Amino acid sequence: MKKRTGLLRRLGALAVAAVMTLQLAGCGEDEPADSVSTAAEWVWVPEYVTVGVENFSYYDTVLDGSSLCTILYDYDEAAGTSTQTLGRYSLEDGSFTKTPIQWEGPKDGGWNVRSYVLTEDGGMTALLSVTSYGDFGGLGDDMSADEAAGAEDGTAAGDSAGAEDGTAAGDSAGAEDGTAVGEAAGGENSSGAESFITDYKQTVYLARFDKEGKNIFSQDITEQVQGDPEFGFYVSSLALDEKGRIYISAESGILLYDEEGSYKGTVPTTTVNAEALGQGRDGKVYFCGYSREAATMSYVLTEVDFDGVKAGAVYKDFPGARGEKLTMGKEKDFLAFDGEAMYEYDLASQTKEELFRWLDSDINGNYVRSVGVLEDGRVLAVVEDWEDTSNSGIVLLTKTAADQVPQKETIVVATLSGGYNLKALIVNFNRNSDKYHVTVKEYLNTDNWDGNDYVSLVSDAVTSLNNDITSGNCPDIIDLSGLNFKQLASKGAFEDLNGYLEDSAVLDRSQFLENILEAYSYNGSLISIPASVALQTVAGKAEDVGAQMGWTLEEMIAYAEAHPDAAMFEGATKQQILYYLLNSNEDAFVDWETGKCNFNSDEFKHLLEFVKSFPDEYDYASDNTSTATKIQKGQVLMETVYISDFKDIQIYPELFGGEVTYIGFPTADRRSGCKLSSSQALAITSKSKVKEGAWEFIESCLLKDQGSRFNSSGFPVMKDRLQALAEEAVKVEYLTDENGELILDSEGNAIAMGGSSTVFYEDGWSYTYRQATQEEVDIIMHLLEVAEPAPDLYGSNVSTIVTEEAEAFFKGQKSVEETVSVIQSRVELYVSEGN
Amino acid sequence: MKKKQKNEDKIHIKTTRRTRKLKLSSGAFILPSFLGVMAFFILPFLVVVVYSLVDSPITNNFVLFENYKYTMGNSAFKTAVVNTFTFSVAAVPLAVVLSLLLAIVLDTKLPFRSQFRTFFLSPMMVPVASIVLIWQVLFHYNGAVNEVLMALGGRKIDWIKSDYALIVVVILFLWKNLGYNMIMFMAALASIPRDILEVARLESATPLQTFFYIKIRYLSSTLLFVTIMSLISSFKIFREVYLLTGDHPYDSIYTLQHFMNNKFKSLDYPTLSSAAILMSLVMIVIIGILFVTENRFGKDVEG
Repeated sequence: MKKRTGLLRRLGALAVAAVMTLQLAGCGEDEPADSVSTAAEWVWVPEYVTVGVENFSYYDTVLDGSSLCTILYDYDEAAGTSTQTLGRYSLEDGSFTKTPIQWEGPKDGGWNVRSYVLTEDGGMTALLSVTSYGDFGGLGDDMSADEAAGAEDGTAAGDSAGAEDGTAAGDSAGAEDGTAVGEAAGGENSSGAESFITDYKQTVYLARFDKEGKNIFSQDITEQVQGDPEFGFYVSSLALDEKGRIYISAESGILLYDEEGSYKGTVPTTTVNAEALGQGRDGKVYFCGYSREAATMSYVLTEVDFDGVKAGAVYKDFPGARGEKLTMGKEKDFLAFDGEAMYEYDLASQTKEELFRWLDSDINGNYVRSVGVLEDGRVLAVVEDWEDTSNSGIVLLTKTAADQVPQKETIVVATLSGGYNLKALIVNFNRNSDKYHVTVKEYLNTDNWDGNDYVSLVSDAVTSLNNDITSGNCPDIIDLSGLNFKQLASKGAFEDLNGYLEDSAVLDRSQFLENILEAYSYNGSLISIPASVALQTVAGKAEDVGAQMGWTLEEMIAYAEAHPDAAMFEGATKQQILYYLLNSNEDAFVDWETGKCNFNSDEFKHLLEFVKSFPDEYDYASDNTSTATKIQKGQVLMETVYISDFKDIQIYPELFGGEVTYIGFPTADRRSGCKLSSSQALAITSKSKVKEGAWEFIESCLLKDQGSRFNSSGFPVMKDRLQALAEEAVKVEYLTDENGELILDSEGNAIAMGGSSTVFYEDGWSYTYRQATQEEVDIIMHLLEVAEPAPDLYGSNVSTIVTEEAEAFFKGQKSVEETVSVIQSRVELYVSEGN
Repeated sequence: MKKKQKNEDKIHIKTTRRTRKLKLSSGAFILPSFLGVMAFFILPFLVVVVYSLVDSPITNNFVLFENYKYTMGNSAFKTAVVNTFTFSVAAVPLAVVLSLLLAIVLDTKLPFRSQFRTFFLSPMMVPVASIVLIWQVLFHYNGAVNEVLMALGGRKIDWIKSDYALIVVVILFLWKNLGYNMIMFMAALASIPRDILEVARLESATPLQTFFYIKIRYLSSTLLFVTIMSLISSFKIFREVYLLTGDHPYDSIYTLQHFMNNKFKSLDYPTLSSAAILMSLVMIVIIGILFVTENRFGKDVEG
């Protein structure tokens, strides 16, 4: 008995010990969702489908069984009319059929299919947007109302520069978002374009067509979709439920119509911005969007109760809503996708399951327009690259066991938030490489962000990246945008690219701007070669600031104080001025070599007192005068200039009414004060195990012809490309007739080819851009030579401390002596730490 | 005789085998805890030592004591050491003495004794964020204390960003820790044998004599414990100070933890590690001295 008790006791004790030991195995965390896993069981292998149909539009393509449907637009120039056709491309045999959409709409305008959904009988229910115009003048183009209304990108005669504070002429009523013409040229915001388009209206029709394209019914629903009368209406998409009842997403809510098109009511969407609409596997219709009630920015899915004319159950954590349509899933209720991955969403558990990441299948998720799933389980993705249409197309993805697919070495590119821009480069590289597969890891996680304190969010991202660099999870390549790369370089985090550049068969150091390479070097090691750079500087009237570039803080303050009735910068507040004055000027107060600071100097006290004279906030609402007019009248002295194109600086002599000096931000030693920001500055980490592959990727990025990609604006760092761009910038070609003779305008001048762009300001001031002159090109080339890398994107510790402490002084709570004493103490501590 | 020898041998063998078995089974039971201590204390400490001997956590080139030299020569580190030492010297004795006094007072038959006890214990339950909020409300430049000062005709003081900051932090430390120390002393006072106190009283000993010659001796181990815990707590005050003042506070309250925290953020692990090792060496010495003192002073009263 004693023996048995003892045995039982021992067994019990052993069991407890085993449990305690096993608990240790629970330590550690699950692999985060965005981490790179090279041990995936399944991969989705892409197959690219070429749709050899002219004018095939990927914009509103939908999957119907095994066919792809789209709306095609044809314009008959002779008749001045356009027709819309439902095109159906069969994925099985590649055949293509066209069904004209027959609709007798109003004759005094043009119409287009705003949104559509296919019915079970092969027909279509659609929203038709009709624009009717009155007389319009303009630039002599014979553009009909049809052209203006039907153009996909909504441009009217003349492109617009779309300058940051100027309303562009040329936005038209045919614009994708269906905004009413009130916002377009000719509206109250664009006085300079009043003569272009006037007196037009827009209506919306709900229509049904049979499978032959014949109209079954159509009715004007403009009044029902009308939102705020001042801004026109907004209608995005429509869906059908299993009974064929119609749901339309509009500004006023979700409009409900029965199968015959009779209006049944509107479901308000007060808590969610309805961004997409669609039918689920249960036959009901749902809409999704960001919840206004949620603490963090996340999507929710809401059921539409047709019979009750109200919103039904709400489902959380929906992955995303792109393309304005929700897609029914195969295994689960919905397919959903965002720029990163494809998911399936289950209503019952309100959870999403990631199927695959776009980059893993060599697809740029930014350009995925719509998705679907075929009967055989293959996923279809419609990709529309609006910048490089050769990348647009259809991709069929097949789930395959990973061991059946040739394995490649993974290269991880780490970026704070630059994944969007890198994807195109990564996809291009992956498709052409048999050996390597590049993937991206973004560290800025906004999933649970409440929209406040962005600086802390960035700080957390940088800490996370630093942890990965020092641990065994180091990425292979780091995108230096927004990072203090010198701090990381001082810790030996990066490879010296000099060796790679020397050994490269396709690149040579002499091909690049030497000063840019110097700017991205540390202690003789080349850390990164950015693909392109942009400039930021300050412009002032040469007559006032002198012809020489560069000035000190005291000189800038003296200039401002000599013009007490003028503002230094438009809309300048204390925060902005403090930023401008400290930006690149910390050296005036900090000796980084010795660790000595002199924030208790008279110069700094003077700076604080000068900054104090500016307002806390600027009241833009009460200000009807444009910046341009103020500068011309001498009410504003300086302008910050962002230069990413050779045409950018030509407006400034007009603004200042004479010669302009790009004098720059103030510096301690009158350097240029011109700041350099870069894009795609990639560095290889010293801990990378695929350095050769990483260099191959960087080579491919540098060699890739960026063309006119929107997201790669700036000046190329490669000399020959920069030179070519400079030559192109000054080249003027003129219109000629079929005999090669110049075509002259009414004043006998040759007409320059290519679109010119115009910027309009709200008070009527406008400027039309032209080709750059050689002198302007030379100025920018000089700025590129003398510019220096911009400081940390989100402010250095020094400027943070100064800003924090100066606040009490600006509010009059502390004297300048007390303030500078605290700043001196805190900054000296920071500097003496060895930073 | 031979049989006796045999029996003795048998017993010895049995005992040895039993002892070995006992040792093995004891080891098996301790093993999970030991693995935990290894994983979360010993190994990380060894990693810190390694980091303190290399040039960077990325390149890991061995540089021996260069990091120590750099750290000891760094002016921010020196400032932090002076401030940490000053704070500890000021706050820890105050915490021990005041809590002992409180314990003695509350050991007497006072009215509302348990309410007072609760009052002093309640700061322990307050979350850190609330403590920070309370202190900001009180000691901010526009806070309540300055309002009172202004009402009394004085002028505003920037309590947290001036040399007064140390006083504010000491008050914060005492406010947080007095209750816990007081409870420890009250428990220790209650465990002093009553008969000895009775004898002292009968022998006409004064209360002061009773306190210093009897009570303090019996409290020696508790005194040691409370001192060590207060010393440890004095480092934990960094949490509240960091929330109040950020990475780089006014220099009078810039402590070693600020230095180390900032070094961590700037990825300077070698300097951080060398500072941590230096600090732990000093702590070992201090605690060693405390143990020796207690050993001498309270030896005769220990069981």
